[in-house]
Amino acid sequence: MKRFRTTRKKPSFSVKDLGGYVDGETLELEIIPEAKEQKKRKVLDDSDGGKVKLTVELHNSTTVHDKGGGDGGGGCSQELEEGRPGRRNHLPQTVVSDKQQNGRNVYHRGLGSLNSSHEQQHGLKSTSSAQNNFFERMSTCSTVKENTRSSETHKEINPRRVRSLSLRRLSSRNSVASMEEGGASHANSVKQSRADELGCCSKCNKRFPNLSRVSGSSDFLCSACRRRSKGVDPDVSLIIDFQTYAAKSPGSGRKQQTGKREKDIIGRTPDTAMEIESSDEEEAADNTGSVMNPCEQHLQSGLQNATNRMLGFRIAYPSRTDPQAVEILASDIQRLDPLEFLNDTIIDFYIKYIQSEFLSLEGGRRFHFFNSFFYKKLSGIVGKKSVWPAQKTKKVADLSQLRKWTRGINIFEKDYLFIPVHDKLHWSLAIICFPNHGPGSASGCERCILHLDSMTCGHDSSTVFRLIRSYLVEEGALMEGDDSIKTLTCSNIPAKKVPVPLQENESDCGLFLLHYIRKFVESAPKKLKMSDVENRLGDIGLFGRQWFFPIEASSLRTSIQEQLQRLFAENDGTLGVSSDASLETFVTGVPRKLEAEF
Amino acid sequence: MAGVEDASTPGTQQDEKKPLDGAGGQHINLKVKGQDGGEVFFRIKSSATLRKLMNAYCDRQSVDPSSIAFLFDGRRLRAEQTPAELDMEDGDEIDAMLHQTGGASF
Repeated sequence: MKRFRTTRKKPSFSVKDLGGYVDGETLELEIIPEAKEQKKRKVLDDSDGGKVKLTVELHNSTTVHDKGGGDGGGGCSQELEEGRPGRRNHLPQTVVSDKQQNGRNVYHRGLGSLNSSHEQQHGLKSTSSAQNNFFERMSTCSTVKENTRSSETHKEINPRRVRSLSLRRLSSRNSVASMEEGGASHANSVKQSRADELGCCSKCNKRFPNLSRVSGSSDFLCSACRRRSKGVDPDVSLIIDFQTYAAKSPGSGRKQQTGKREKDIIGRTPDTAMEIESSDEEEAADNTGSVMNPCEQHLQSGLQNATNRMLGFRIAYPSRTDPQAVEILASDIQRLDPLEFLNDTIIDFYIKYIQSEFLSLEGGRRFHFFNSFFYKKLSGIVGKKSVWPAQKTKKVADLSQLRKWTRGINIFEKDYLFIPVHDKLHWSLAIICFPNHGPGSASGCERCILHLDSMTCGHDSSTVFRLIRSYLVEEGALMEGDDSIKTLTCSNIPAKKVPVPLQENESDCGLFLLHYIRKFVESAPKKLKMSDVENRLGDIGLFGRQWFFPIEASSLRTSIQEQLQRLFAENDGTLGVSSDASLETFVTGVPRKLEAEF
Repeated sequence: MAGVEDASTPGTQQDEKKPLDGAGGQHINLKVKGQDGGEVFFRIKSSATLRKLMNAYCDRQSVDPSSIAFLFDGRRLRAEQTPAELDMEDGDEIDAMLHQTGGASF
């Protein structure tokens, strides 16, 4: 007999240590739990101080010889552990039995018809054992037997699943399966556990660590007597005997499983076996439905939120006191990474930036910049279809709400109104020129709407014009005083899609929109007529495909990103908000029915 | 934490408009309007931050708070602002708009 001693945490031997075993030799492995855990286990198992004895009985067989002597043990172990169907036919039959038989044959449920309950319950080689070459029993309560010669079995059993299932049950320490079994079989298992306590072979009357019951008889035999009674088994039987093993505390096995230990079936302690549970956790959860406590789930999502918010360090531009300030999150900067699409926050931020950096006070009065949601709101109100007369009163009421968007501003006093247009993942720009100046105005300015789109197949200009015209008409109707504005109609607002430099990729339209604004405000003409736009583009110095190089717009990506990073660095800790806000989000995020609770 | 209450029945809520309640300030009814036209009513203390309202709305609509922009009269709302500092009045409407991203036309 070979003996190995090892601690529970670190098996100091591997299967290969078994190399060159002798037929019929018994290998005894003593697995000693770490001192720290010993106390714990003592409560659960006072029989032998938590030591685990693993007795492996090895029988030679031709199949093992085929694989080459020393490797035979390793082959067994892999078979037990991985249950690789492809190798089954060449592997020896293995039987792993647990001395302590508490009737907790949990695999019985999972495998259903695959197991004969009789064999499983008694955990020993039966007459039909020649057909079974995978039989695993782990720790206190698991027995797996698989008829691997049946091809259906290969399909049906996922060893990983079986393992995780068994371990989960193991940790719950419920002898569920015993309830399934009939009263008679229950009595048997009671009897067996008594024999376990005695530990005497009923034939030779010697104390023996691993006793099994032979099918068809009520005797408990040691392995030697059993072999004698049955004659030499042509297959190799491997009996692994775990003595009482407490289910380990949850969470302690949440380490990454190393492949090396995984291959070590005989050296594998319940500790490492537990680790599988964590690695298979997701899969097991999928298989058996979510087992996570809803509270825990919510807490986790709350934490996630808090973490996200932490990452979402934020600044307000131009300042927190500005009512029109744009709040930028740290995550928004990522929208400026190469090939990323710009979002409304970046658009609004840069428009604000242009206003404060490129415009004089006088220039600021000439222009009005709508926010990036204005067009979406407008299209939501007016709708994609033209307004029917019957609905018009309703539409007027709704559009009057839009007036609040320009509270304190008379748009008809402005020279140019800029409207960022967003639709279908695309940005373009609409400019309303001189809304106060009707056609033929003496000032040399004429009201018109221009659409600047960096893609030829971008937004439908006619929709844009229709929406903006109806907005202007409604706004004009609500204006006090000027009759020429009051009587504004859609038909007397000319509109044109002007040629502009086009984007050369599929991601820069937001940057082009911003660059159009920037270029336009730099040299916004004091006078502009529709006829100028149509015929004398060169003279105005605006628009046209050669207005600027596309690379100028594309390079805004990095310059805006740098600008934002600089702002974040400057505001870090002063205007930047705020870990306490995140915390509050987290705390208040816990209850679900907030409306009622605040 | 008496800040936001679900005032899905605005009729009754508005009838019992609360006067100043000492430390807290006045309760006002706010309407959050989604892009689909759906409206959710909230009753919130003027001095309470809008974070509670935003979270409550997103929770109710099951949307990620970071995917929604809240606008009041075209102004972007920030979570730490309060109705009082924004001069919000009873019955005011807040727009909840999905954030817009764009790069190319599809």
